[in-house]
Amino acid sequence: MSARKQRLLSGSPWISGVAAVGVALLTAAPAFSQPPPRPRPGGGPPRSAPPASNAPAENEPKKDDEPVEPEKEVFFAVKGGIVHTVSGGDLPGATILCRNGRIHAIGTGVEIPKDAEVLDATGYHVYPGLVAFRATGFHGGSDPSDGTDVYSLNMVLALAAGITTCMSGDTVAKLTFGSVEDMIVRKEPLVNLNYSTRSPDARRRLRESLDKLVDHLRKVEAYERESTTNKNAVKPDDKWIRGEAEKHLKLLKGEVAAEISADRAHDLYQACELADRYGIRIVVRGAYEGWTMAPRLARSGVSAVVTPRTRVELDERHVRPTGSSIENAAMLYNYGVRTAILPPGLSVSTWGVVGEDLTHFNMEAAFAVRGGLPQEAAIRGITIDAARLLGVDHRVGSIEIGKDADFCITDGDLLHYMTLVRWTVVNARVVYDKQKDTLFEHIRPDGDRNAPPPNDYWPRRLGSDWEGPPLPEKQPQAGR
Amino acid sequence: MRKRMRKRNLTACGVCGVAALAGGTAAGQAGGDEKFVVVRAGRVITVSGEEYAPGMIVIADGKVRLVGQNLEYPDGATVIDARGQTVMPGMIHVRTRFGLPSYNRPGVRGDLKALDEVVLSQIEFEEFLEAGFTAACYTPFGDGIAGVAGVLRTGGPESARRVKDAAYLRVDMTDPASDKGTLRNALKKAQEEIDKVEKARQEWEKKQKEKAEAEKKQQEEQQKKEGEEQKPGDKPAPPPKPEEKPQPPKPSPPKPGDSGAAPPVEAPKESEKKEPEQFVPPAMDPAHLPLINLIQKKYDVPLFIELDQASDYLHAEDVLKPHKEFPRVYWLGARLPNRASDYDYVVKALGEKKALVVVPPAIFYLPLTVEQYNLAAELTKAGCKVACAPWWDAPLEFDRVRSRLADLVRAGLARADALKSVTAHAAEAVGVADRLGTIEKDRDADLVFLSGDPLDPRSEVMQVMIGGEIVYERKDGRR
Repeated sequence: MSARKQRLLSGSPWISGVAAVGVALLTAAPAFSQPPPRPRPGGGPPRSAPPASNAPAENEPKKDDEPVEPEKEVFFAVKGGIVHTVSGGDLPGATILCRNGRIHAIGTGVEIPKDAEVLDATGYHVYPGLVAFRATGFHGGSDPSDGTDVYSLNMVLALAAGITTCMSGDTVAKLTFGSVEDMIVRKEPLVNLNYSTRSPDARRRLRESLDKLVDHLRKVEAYERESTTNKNAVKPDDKWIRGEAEKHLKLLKGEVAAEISADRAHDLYQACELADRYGIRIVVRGAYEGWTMAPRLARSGVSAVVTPRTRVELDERHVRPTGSSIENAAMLYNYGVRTAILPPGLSVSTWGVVGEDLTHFNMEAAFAVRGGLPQEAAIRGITIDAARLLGVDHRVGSIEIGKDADFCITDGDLLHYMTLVRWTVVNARVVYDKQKDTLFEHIRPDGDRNAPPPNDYWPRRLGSDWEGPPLPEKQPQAGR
Repeated sequence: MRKRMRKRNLTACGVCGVAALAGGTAAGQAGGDEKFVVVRAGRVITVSGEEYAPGMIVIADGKVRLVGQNLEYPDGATVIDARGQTVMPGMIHVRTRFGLPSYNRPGVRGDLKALDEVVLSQIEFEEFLEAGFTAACYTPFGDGIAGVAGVLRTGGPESARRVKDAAYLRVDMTDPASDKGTLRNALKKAQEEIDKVEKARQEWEKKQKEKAEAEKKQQEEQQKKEGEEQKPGDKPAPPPKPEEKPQPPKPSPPKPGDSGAAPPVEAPKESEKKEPEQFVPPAMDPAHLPLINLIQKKYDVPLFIELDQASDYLHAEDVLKPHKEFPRVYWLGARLPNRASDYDYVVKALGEKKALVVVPPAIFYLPLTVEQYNLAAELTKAGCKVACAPWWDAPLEFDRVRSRLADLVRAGLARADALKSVTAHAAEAVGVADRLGTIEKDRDADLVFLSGDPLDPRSEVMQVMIGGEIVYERKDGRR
């Protein structure tokens, strides 16, 4: 991506002047307070300072399948909206100019080229496209760009919820409705580890594998040192590093992070131990008892993916605090644990309990706010922080110059229960328009919060003066 | 036998005048061996243009010679009196496996031909004839790239049954999660095969060049020697003329018409020291030959891309992005039996490409709604050529095609387009438009005689003519 990004960052000369304001505003805001880099325990292979996230290095070689920049520059602009950049504050009335699918300039004085497609978002709120740490049912096949039905209803529903990027299977992919191009963001950003106290054998095998690899890395380092002087130095054998071991090696090298499903304090503690021992980045999923040991997680640099709505009763057999807490996300945040937010259901469904799936992604973040998490942090939990945990924060998750033009444009504050998504933009293309899709078109078509409720309750055919099904005579009045 | 031209009064109609003029030529050409058949019909639907009521068709040796009204014909011609009937070109089934077993052969099988599976005596072709189909394109079965389809006539003498051996290459894209990779890898493999031959040719050329140079050097040395032996004052001999380098002929890939059937050329064995006179290309993988031909710009066998839903079209186009010029036909309608389909998303894109699209003759529903969607009409409006094929391989469904077309016409499809969709456009989809699909001069006389209008559900197929011979006559009391 680097070449493309650099091209875009350089920009054309005529635009750089007018965009200066935006650039100045968008210098990276300080992220969460980070624990200081830990020394490598056990004398493991030394490593340069870890990057801010597990994003691929900037100097990685250009890939062959990198899309060739089209000859013609395609401009797209969102103007007049209240821009919530997430990483750099809010810009009321700012214009976002996108060029060839990437954000090119942000600011109030940005000149829009004549041939640009302009989306007038005056009065609307512009957020970066939401990032779901994990989702199912939006993409298909082992390679989403091959197996996805890009016209599926699930995809429309996800876009109507503001989601533009999610991890499907082991690939971070975008919801490019109506197109199969520029869909993949990153493949295999995380290694799934089974490190539960319930399977001690799997834990032992994992530790053995990691120990062996640490030993191998030490040997490689020794060889590199020796090979500068001794030409007959023997390179350590690495043919055995296949399959799982290869993934673990990437983990130890810091190229990817590990994902561990851990809910309770004991499992979280084990994850912290693992992170400390091998110096690897770990994301714990679940973590409903994270609030009981937030400082420990922070000290080990473990990130968490939480579901604020989880309800688990306390376990009275323990003397320590147990069970879930609505303050979980807030407490993790206060101690500096990077936290992404996920709803309980990872797909979209209309047959289950409505509101527990990804169609109400923003509501899940709102629950965390109810538990004390600052509003900004809750929005970060469904945008930039989720992107960081997936190692794709260099492309999505906030509105910054050079990042992908993915926006979720709402008719109100993102975390308000009345808010509906008005437009969703992916790769500088409007992929969801509330007034053109039949899903929510009839709900507050003018955006008026005080408008009477739509005349669409079920069954619609029976008209507005239908009083509901007839009730038996002896039904108490309270039943109505 | 003495032939006497029978003169008829000509009307003042211009079309008839033209036809009569042409008729004069036809009659003039009539040799002694030509066999003439004349059809006198209540109505002739040519599909390509005029409808004549009443109409006449003059057929010579199984080919249409003249169409019009009040035509001249030789005296000894057989006259078929169908004055109460409507004649239209025989319908063409674009995609069938009627009478063939279904078994899956995944992968790339471009060497397989559906017609090789057909045993004429084992298939009840009468079912086609009863429904008015005079030709059927047998398609291979299987996921991935299943093979090459071929066109058969449904009646007539066995020697004249095969119309086209290689009509199209069937490419399945109904499950892009696996099919997309199959096609991508197949294209890659085909390119590798081409590169392999090209590399071998270059090596051969290089070898020839080296050989020529060695010979030249040898000659020079010899001449030098001779020159030394000659008197020093002598004029040096002129340099030997550079040997004519034999122009190596390009590797002759097999004709696309018989792709796959071509016997792979044996690569020259290393053990044979004798250098071949001409470049012998190494054998190519026959399973990939149809694709190799397409890459080498031999567009005789188009791709027949089967789609299940709208996004499959995007996936197919994504793989074929570097090969925009490949001729292709799309089959929309694999989703059975549910008629809910989101093809409406790609109708515009198909129309802009003026694609040739094969659809089932049915009215679709937009997904999760009760909105009816006349796919054939919308595609036509967008600019596509639309062919219709029966939805599944059952005689009843063959019979139903005409009434299904009538439904489409009622819902907005033009009548002419509906008729073309099973004749002219269907012929184009299977690459036999130069022989079948319309009633025009020099097209095969494959005709259907109906008791009424083709789109009237009450009308029956009364007779079917293939190659100028009546091959089917409706028995009374039989549907």
